[in-house]
Amino acid sequence: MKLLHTADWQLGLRLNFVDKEVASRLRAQRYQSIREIARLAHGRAVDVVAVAGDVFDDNSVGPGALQQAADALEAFGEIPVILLPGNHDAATPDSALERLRPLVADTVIIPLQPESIELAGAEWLLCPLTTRHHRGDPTDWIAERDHDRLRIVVAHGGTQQFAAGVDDINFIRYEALLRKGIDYVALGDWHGTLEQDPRVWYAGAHEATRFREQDPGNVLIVELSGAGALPIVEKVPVASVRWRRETFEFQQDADVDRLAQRLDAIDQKSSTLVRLELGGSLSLEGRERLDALLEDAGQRLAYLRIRDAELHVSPTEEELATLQGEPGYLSRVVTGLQEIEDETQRSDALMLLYRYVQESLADQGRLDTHR
Amino acid sequence: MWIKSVQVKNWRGLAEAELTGLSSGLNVVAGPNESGKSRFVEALRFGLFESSKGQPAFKSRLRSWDAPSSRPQVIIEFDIRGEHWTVNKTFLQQAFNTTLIGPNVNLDGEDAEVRLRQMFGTDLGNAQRPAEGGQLGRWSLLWIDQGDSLNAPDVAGNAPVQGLLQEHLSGEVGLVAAGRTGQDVLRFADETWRRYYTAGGQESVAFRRLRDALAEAKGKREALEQRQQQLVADADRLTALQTDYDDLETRAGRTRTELGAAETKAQQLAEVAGKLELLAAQEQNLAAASETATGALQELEELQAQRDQFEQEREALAESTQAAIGAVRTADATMQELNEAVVQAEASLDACQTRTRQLLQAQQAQGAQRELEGKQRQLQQLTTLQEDIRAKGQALAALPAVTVARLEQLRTIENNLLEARARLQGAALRLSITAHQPLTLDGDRLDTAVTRDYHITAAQRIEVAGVLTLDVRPGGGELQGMQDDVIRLQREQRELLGELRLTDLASATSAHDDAKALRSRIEDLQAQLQDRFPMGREDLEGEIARLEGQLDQWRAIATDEDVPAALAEAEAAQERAASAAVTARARRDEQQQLAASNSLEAERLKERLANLDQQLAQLKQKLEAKPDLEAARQRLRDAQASQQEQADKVSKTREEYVSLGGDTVQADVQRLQQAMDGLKERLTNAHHDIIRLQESLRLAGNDDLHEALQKAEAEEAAAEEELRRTERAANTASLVREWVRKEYNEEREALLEPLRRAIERYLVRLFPNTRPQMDDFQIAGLQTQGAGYVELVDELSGGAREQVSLLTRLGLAEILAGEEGWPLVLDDVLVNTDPNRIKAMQPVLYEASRRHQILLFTCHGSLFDNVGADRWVELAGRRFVSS
Repeated sequence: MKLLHTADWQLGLRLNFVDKEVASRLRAQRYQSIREIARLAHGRAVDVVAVAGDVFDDNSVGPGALQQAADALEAFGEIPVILLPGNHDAATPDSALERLRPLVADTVIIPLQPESIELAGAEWLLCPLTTRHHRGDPTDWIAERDHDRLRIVVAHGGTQQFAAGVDDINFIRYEALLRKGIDYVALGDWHGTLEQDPRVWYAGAHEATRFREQDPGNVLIVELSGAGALPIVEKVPVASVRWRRETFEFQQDADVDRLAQRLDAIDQKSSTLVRLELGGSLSLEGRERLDALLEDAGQRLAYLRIRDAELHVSPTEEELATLQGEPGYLSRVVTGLQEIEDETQRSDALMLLYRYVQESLADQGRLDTHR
Repeated sequence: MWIKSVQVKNWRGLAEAELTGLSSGLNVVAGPNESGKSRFVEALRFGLFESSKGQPAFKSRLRSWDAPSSRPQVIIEFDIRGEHWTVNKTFLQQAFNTTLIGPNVNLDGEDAEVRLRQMFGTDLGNAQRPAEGGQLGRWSLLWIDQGDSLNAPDVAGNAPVQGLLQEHLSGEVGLVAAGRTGQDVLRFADETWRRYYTAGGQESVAFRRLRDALAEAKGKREALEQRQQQLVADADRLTALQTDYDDLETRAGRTRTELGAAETKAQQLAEVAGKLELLAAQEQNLAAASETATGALQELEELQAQRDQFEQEREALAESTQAAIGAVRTADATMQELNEAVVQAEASLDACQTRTRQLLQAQQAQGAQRELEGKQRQLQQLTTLQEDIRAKGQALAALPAVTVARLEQLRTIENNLLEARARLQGAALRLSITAHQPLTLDGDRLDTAVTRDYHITAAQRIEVAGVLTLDVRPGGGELQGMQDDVIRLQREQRELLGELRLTDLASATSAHDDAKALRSRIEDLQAQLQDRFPMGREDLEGEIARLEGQLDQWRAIATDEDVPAALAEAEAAQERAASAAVTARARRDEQQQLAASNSLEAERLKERLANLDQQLAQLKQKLEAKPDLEAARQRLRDAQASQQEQADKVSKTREEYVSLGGDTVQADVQRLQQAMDGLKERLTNAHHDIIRLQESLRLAGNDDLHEALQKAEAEEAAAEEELRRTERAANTASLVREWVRKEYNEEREALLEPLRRAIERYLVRLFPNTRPQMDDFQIAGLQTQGAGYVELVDELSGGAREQVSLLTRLGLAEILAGEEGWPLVLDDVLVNTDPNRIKAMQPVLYEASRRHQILLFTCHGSLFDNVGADRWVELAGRRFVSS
């Protein structure tokens, strides 16, 4: 028995921090990646595809999102696909999956109540969430093994208990579950691929939704040779949108060029989101160049988030001489600004003054390059 | 610089005048208005600063009033850096007419002008207008024209002066506030800051718009979020409702079962109730039968008692009837006797009445005879009167019918005729011809001395044969008309009189008066007739006929006896007979009533007896049809026994009804049905709620709410990011500007310190214990020492403002002087200042004049007596005006 385990597609999601055009491109990409998963499923000849919850980002998705999902699901053809309601698309009366039902083929299985079904010679124990916040374990209803066929659980929820004595929401006690005689537990909710136990896996989201997710963008091909045997799990990356977290420390102005090379080395820039954390120190001129570089990179990448709280600006002697070169009050201003304690404020203020002076010098024809 | 003399020619009314021997210190030029002070100041100004070339309007004014063709000319001698110079300008010519002579220098035309400008640091202004402001350089501060004394020196708008001041001040303190870059930065900092803030430090419109945009996006997002939460809540509510519905359905099932059981029991109970009802009805029938038997027995007993009573009554009644019949017979006999007595009395009365009637008729006949005789006398008198009237009427008819109108007509005609005759008479003429010789006059012979008269009333020709023909026309030809009038009137009179059968007016008047008298008499007689015989002749004759008829009737009863005495006697006899008849009739009527009463009583008794007999017969018949008394008593006993038996059966069935639950079972059924109805209603309501929520959720599914919300979140995030960036930039701009401003101002203040001190030195003389507050090169306010209070210059009184303005200029002049002192020209300054303050100003002016030349022009020379002038020029009024 071979199954493709995936989860947390969150169709209809739109990233609110990227600009409009990119946002709609990335949202469309989530549907496109489903077609990639279908191609993989056909290629690996899997028997069943199990999507362990959060197929949709929310039950209030509109008819457009439902139709795009239905269109993408057509790619699975004859392969049965289980779409499990998770906390984002719980089987409540407003269920999006229930509204999807009339739009998809009969091979698409949408359990709206906990149920056990026979599929590909195995017993599938489907544990949909019937409320958004299910108090307790959604797998509680599963009975002890009473046959020797494969038993596969598909569920959505957490496996970490955060406060003792409190009934966690959607909390799955997987050890207890395994004791009832389960061969594989296909879980959803955690967006990174995670092995909780050799029989208990989170597939993770097929496309990431945040920078801080760990190892998203994969699906799992799971082979089960027979009841009681350990599953063979293979992680296969499918994401087409890349999320990168970069840190960069400046020692000298020349480092701006190094950063430029590094950013330039990123392939598929238009579908890559980058979070760039900058530290260290630059001269005024270096910072000027950095800003120009970042502005350019921001336009090339799908999204560039800059964290520069730790990046300081230190004018060089030469720069100070330029700023203070003229008799009069200016040199005292420079001294004053340099004494501002807040790094960001100080850097911003020095940069602004630097730009004023550059502009004046350019007007006076005393500067070769006008900024 | 030291202006030594000024000489003018043909200058606006000054043919030729000069100020000479001017001191390098304090010069006072005093003189009343129109004495030429201002013309000297003007000439100085033109001589030093204006080009001699051209004739724009402002120069044309200089033309001398009395010699318009002559050219205004000014010659100024001055020393500068120890060198002596003379400038000579003549105006109002096309070309330059300037000469400048100095040590080893003799320039003319434009060269002279250029050299002058270089020496004084002035600029060639617009040739069409006098030089001013920046064009005059330092002179704009050193020179106060009449009327300008209140204005503070304008340094801010005078770049050359600023440069000069800066240069001098920097030289003095070794500082530069800002170089070119510093100035630019100052400007950029302001410009950048103004992108985010208003002049008042409020956030700019664009800045605020960003905040508003964020608030709007946030509001939009929150509204959508709320809607989404509402949907989630609806979904949860639907789930809860469905659970409730299921629960309610289970409970309704339980109630339904309970209701079924209660209904079955009620069915059984209904059957027992039916039986009970039947038995009770039967019991009621038996009770009725028993009651009937009791009634029959009672009736029988009552009938027998009645029969016995009737028989007793009949016996008594028969006796009474017999007695009554006897009484009636006795009464009938008495009645017979009384009737006869009445007949006798009535006959006697009739006889008396006949006698009385006859006597009364005799009395009436005698009266009628007397009345008849009276009437016949009246008729005689009436006849006499009527005949008199008729005779008078005939006499009246015989008179001609002369009415008042006719009489009047006759009188008018008469008058007219008399008048016509008189006119005719007046027009006629009497002609007497007396012949003095025999003549033939009108064919007649007239002898000598004979006179022949003519009465000529118409045109007439008189012929004297052989002598003359005389035509006479009396009345001028109108005579014929007059004659015609007389004839016409005579005819009219004749006709009218003829008609009346009269001869003249007098007879007409007489006839009219006679008729009037006759008419009056007839009226009198008719009145008498009416008065005395109102009934008329016919009625009188009728009355006589009637009386005669009556007397004919009564002739038979005529009697000879004394009628009144016989009548009295007869009437008394009649009265007695009537009384006797009345008594007899009363007695008979009384007896008649008694007899009728007896007879009626007897009849009534007989009738009652017959009735009683009939009733008795009926009663006996009834009694014969009834069973006998014993049989009736047995029947009653049987009926009572059956009734008791039925009552026992009813009682037993009722016990069975109660044991089955009785009336409470029906109440249970009702209660459970009501409960069931309630549950059904709740189920229906819950069902409706479920349908409604399902529908609402189904519709919401088409709203694409998720997409809208995410879009709103994105918009909010973008707005927030934009605002954050702007705030950061604004804060930076604000911070930099703050530093730039602060440092610049401090630097500037240090730079301005010598100027402030220079001004303060003069200022304290008039405003002790104050310190000038500088705003750039100007005094913004006066700060009283030891107090934080600053009085703004703009708010000072006119006099004080004037003094501060002058003192500031003295300070500025000092800084600007540098090594070379420059003259201060003051034309009628301190006009707003009172004499005491001017007195205080005197030592200041004196002190200043130790550093540079002062030319003070005033029309109040006496105020400056003690100023300590080095040179005093007194200009007399009109002294310089050529005659």
